[in-house]
Amino acid sequence: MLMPMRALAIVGLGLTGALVHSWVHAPLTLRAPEPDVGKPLELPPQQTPGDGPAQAGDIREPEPGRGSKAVPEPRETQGQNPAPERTTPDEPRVTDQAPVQPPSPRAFDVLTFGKFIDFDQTKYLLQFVDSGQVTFIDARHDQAAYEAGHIPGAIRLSADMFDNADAKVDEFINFYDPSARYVIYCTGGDCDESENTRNRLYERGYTVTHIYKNGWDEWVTKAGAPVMTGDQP
Amino acid sequence: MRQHKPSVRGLAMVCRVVVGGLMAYAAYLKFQGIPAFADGIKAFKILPDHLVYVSAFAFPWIEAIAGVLLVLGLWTRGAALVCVGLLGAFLFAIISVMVRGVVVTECSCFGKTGFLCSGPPSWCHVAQDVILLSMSLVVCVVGCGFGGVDRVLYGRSGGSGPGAAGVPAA
Repeated sequence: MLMPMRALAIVGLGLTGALVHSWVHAPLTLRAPEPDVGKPLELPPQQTPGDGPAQAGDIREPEPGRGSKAVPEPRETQGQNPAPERTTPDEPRVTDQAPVQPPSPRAFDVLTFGKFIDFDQTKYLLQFVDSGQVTFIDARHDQAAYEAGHIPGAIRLSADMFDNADAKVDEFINFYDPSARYVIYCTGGDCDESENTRNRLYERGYTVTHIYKNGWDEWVTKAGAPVMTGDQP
Repeated sequence: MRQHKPSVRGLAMVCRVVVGGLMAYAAYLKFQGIPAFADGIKAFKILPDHLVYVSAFAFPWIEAIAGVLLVLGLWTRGAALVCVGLLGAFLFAIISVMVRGVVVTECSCFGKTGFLCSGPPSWCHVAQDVILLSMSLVVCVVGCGFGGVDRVLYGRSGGSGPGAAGVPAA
């Protein structure tokens, strides 16, 4: 009779320790809420469609000075994220050279984008990467998978990099605007890596984050979806 | 009270120290990354979120206490019974993931190190758990074996069998 009683006592002690620990530990985010609305996006000049009254989420002419690809500044002084460095032909390259298509006739209002987005929405957002308005994040924990192929401009930022205090995370936090828009993807389908990275970002104040639900597995099967290889975004 | 042979008592001591040490080590690794462990539990898709939250803190604490008690040989049978419960739960979770075909990138059994087995839940993890479970059962049956605080405090029974304090001898 003593054995089960002592076992219960051990479990009770453990639960007490857990209670105190959860009290002093920073809150865990298991499922970050729906993303904030965020800022509307502005298409670069060459892809701006015809005249018309601007509406929320519509494509508009950029204001002077916006969308600059200058050297990234710390986020205190910048309104946009730095554009990822493009690579030369000698270095990791885009293997599918098909240019990102202009927006489809379907009107996308990014202000209504939810937590999960599909391929068309993801591809629509890809054209704003160069201007720094949208940043793609590859949440796969496998560096080799990232180097084998990723969405152009995507930064590798897996949840374990946050947990291990990786230097790239500090760099990201210092240079990327928490109010900007982010698209996170992992392998796709059942993978939780996007959700985990999104939770870590949410804990650090990044609240406009979308998950490309079907992820890399779908992206590589789509015609015209550009792919970058190598360890550079 | 049956007196176990010295070889059996020696085996129990080895099992106790090995299982206890590994449980304490696993708990230490989990304490290093509670959020990662919570992600690991969530990925198994067995528990709802509120229980994932509780489990992420409770499992390492229970493992740590049971592990340290086993190594010390204090409340040995009770601690071994807790380990049987924990390892049984882990075994169920691993087999469940394998049967359902759920994508889990890391077992999270021993934090990120993986110990003997690494990567997604596999038969290696099942074998590892079955071995540790068997060793815990040996300790449950035999008691603390050689050494251990129980022998000092409660005599040869290890504190929970017949002949222990408050338990009439046969």
